This record gives sequence, C-alpha cells and structure tokens, in this order.
Amino acid sequence: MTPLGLRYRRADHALVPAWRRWWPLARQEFLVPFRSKVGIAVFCLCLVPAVVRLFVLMIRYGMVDFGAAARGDVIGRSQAWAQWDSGRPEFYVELVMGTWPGLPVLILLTGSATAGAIARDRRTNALELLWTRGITPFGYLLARFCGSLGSLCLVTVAAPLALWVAAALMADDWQQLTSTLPFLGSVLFALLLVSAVWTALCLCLSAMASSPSQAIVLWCLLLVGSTALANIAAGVLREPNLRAWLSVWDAGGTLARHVAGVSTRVALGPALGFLSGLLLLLGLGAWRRLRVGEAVA
Amino acid sequence: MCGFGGFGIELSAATGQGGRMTVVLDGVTIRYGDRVAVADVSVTFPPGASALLGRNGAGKSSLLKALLGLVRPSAGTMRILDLPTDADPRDVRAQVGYMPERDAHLPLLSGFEMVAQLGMLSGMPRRDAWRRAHEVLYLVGLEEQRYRPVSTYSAGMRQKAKLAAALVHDPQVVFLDEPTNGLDPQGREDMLRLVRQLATELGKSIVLSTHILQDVEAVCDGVVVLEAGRVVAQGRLRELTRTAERRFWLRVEPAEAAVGPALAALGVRHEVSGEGRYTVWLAEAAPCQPVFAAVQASGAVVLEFAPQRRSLEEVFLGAVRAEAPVAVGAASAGAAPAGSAVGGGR
Repeated sequence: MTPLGLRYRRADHALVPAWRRWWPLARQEFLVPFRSKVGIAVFCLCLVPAVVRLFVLMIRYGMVDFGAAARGDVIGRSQAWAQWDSGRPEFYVELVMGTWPGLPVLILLTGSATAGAIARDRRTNALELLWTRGITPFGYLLARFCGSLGSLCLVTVAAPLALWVAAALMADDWQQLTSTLPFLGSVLFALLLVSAVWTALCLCLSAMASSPSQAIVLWCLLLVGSTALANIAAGVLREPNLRAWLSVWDAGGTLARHVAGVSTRVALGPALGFLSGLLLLLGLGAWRRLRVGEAVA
Repeated sequence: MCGFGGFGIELSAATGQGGRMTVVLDGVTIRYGDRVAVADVSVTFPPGASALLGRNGAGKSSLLKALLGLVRPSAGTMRILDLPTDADPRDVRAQVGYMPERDAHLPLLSGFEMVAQLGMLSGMPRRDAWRRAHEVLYLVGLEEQRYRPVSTYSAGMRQKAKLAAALVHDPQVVFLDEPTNGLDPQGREDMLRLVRQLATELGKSIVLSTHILQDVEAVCDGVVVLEAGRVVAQGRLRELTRTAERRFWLRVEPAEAAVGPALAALGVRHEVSGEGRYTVWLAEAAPCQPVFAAVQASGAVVLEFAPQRRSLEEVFLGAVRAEAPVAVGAASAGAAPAGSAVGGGR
C-alpha cells in the first residue's frame, strides 16, 4: 500500500443540497444500456421499428425515390391503415404500443437495464454503500426510476418525437405540422405515462428479486404471462375486453390510446384499475424488501 | 504541521479537533419492537483509533446504524462532531465515513467511478469528487487499477476500494467494520498501518468494529466492549490490559533448583510453567527484590524476569463473562483528557 502523506489533502468543498444528491445516481442508471457493446447493440435493435417508419416516411415524401408505384403504394397503405399515416396519432402511438414490435422491444430494453437496476445493487450489497451516504432510500428509488425512465423514453417517447419532426421537415407544406401539432402533446404524454408505469412495475420487481436474472425472468413472466392469462380468461368468460384489461401490456396500450385520443372501443376504467392495483401491490412488496434493516447489515 | 509532498500542500496533523470528543453517546437505547438491542449506552470516542468489540449480536451493528442515522434510538442522545443532536441523518452521513463489513461495490462501475459516485452522493460537487477519488485511490494503493471494473478486483482490492470510498469526502469520523476481512497477511498489515496513520497523522477519529483482537491491539488506543447491548468495559487499551496484580515471567538456572518452595516461603503466588520457568504474581506496590533473594537462596540465578500484561483476549473474555461494567482510566474509549469521564455503560 502506498505510504501515507504523499497524496492526501483536505477536501475543501461546499456540500451540494440534499435534494440534488440523487442526480448522479439517475445519470448512472440512464447510461446503463450504453456501458457495454451488447447494451448498445440491444438499444440499436430497439430503434429498428422507428427507423423502418422513418424509411416509410422518406418514401412517402419522396426523399428516397423507388419510383411512383412504390410511393403510391405507401400513400395508399397510409390512407387505409391509420398506423402508417404520419398525420394521425396512431402512427406514433402504435410504434410503441403495437404488440409487434412493441412488446419485444419493451422486453429487450427493460430486460437489459431496468429489471436489473435494484437487483444488481442488492446482489453486490451496493445498497449498504448507497444508503450510508447522504441520500435517503426514497431518493435512491427516485434516482433509479428517473434514470430507467430516461433510457426507456429514448425509444418510447424520443423516437416518436423524432419521427414527428422528420415528417414535419420532409412534408411538402405546413399542412403536416399544423394538423399534427394539436395531438402531439397528448401523444407524448400518453407514451411518457405508460413508460413510467412500466418502469415503476419493472423496478418494483427488481427490488423484490434477489438477483438480476430473477428480476428479468419475473418481468418477462409478468408481461407475457399476464397476456396469456388474459387471453385465456377472455376465451373462457367470452369477454374479449378482458385481454385489454388484465394484461400488463394491453392495459398499458389501453391507457396510452385513451390518453392520446386514439379511437378504441375498450373502456379505460378496468385497465387503469388493474394497473393501479398491480402497482400498489408490487410497490408494497418492494418497500418491504427495501427496508434499511435488510439492506444494511 | 506535517508536509504532504504530493501536491505541495500542508495539512494540520491534528485537523483542528485537538482533544475534543468527536462522537458522544449518552444513555442511548435502541429497540427493535420489544427487543432491546442496545441498552443505555454512554460512550465517547475521541480523535484517534478506538475499537468497538463484542460478540455477534452484542449490539455493535445497531450502534453503528444509529450513528449513521439509519436507526433512531428510543432513548438517549448522540452527537457527532459539532452537528446538533437532531441533525438531518443525511447531513450526519455526509460528515462520516463508513466502510461496511460485507463485500460491497457499485455494479458495472470502475473503482474510480464508484469512489467518485459515492463522493457525489455524500454531497461533493462533481469536480471535487473526481479529484478526491483519484487521491484516495492513490492513497490506498489502487492507482494502477482505478479504471478497472470493481467486479474484477480481488477481495483485498475491494477492501481497499471500500476504504477509499469511506475517505473520499474527507470525513473527520470514520467507522470501519471489519476492515481486514478477506485480506492476506501482507494486505492486513498494510491496511492496519494505513488505519493507524489515518488516526495518528491525519487526526481522524476511527471507530473500528471488529472481532479480531490482534487488529485492535495493533491499531487502537481505546476499547469499548459491548455484551448483550451493554457496555461491559471501556477505556484505554493500556489501562485495560494492566492488572491489579502485577504478573512476571521468571526463568532461572539451574532448572532443578528449588525455587518454588523458596517463593512459597516468602508468600509469593507463583505457578510452574515449565522447567526453570515460573509465572509470579506480586501485589501492586510490592517490591521485586524478595523474588531475586528467594531465587538466590535456592542456589539458582535469574536468567529472565519480565513483566507480563493481560492480553486483550483475557480482558475481553473477562468482561463478557462478568458482564459487569469496567471503566478504566479516563472512562472514554481513547486518550480522553482528564475530567471528561463518562460513567460506565449502566
């Protein structure tokens, strides 16, 4: 070990206010997907659906010329299917909420980062290091939530926003901008809201799990398992709406579509109740597992 | 003042704390439901190294948790440095360094990132945290490995990284929980030397919670022994290991000389420890001369006559078995100034 007296001097700094101390932790969590080559590859993969839509926009607005037939085909499809029409909210909402590719993207992105956020800290006893600093457990949770939400929103909110900007810039006139601006706010808010709900659910599971891999498995089971159970329940009870109410994925979609103003025949109340109840249940479980006595030996 | 060559900056060895108590507990009781983990503990830790000794479940961890503001005592007051007794726990933790016993690190981060991150969480601005992270990693000897992920460190390197993290915000008080866990003999010696230097050269108050009595003897000036949540012994190490009776190690030649009967005739308590070897007990004020005279009378010569001290192990075992509070010297864990005595832990 190095002899003392060579590299030690008094720290001379003013303390940062307590409410700002969780920020470095949020920043660290936000950067988790980008800390490894695999993480970057996963993130890029999750952006593929947005890139595909961007390519469609480029064909539609003639930025990429595959001939009149191809352009006409794209315009025809966009008129037939709202989710391919950049002038309608479905184009942006369904990019994230469509089961394909939305569900795999969500599983990939949250599985590689968010699901392990707290479980990693528990496994390496980092909670003991963190909570014996100038940060409260609530500040810690807030930091992890904000960081995870930030990285998820790069795909679920920033990508649709980038598509909207691209569409507005590539359009022939101001029509695209003026017709889409009124619903843009609600679309982005809806996507942000659903991303926050999924992040919170995922973090709760992460807090309850004893290892990152267990957290990932639990999260995937919750997403896929609840969808499967909802399908079975819908079949048995002959109530198709149960699919959209009892599945974590579809309930999130229902919530997003209602808030974004996308036309849907499914009622919001049961989906909202299901998500709220689940969040409360998992939140209580997480809070019990995150007691100071357990984290600090 | 002592010079610190690396950056050409001078640092006061006493860091302005002088002989002031840096951690004072007065009648602290900690309960978990109906269970009393710590009962009416009054202890003071002055600048320097002090040990918190006790068996598993004795209340050491509860006391540390309370000092870190993680557990609220049901009775009593605690004061750390100049902070008010009702200070925000976050402000307390910003002034205190803590090295946990368990292997712990921030996942995915390098040693430098981990130490800097923990510095920022302690309230340091980013630039200061980065600067200090480099410095303390150099201090503990991890300067070459600081950009490697901590997950790839050996056990000894992780201990050093934890110590660096405890020091990054330059706390005046540092709690070290089993700092030599998992270290090889050389690493252990280095760690203890560094801890000692932190206390003596930088004037930090070190509170060492450990089971390893040799570590305490190597580093600490003061000791607090906890048993079943109560303080059963506290004081300076030198005072605690001194006995009311003086004990001597006696070796004579020839071995077959009848030294024992000669000592018995004088009324000196003794014990045969081997051929020509004896352990002799004398009262506190009794002179040694009669022992030499007895040996001479038995026709032998003294080869060795050396005083023995009680080992810390004997002190510890005696204290926890008796469970009666023993306060020695200044009655604080370390070299407290006279007049600052605090009653035993009852």
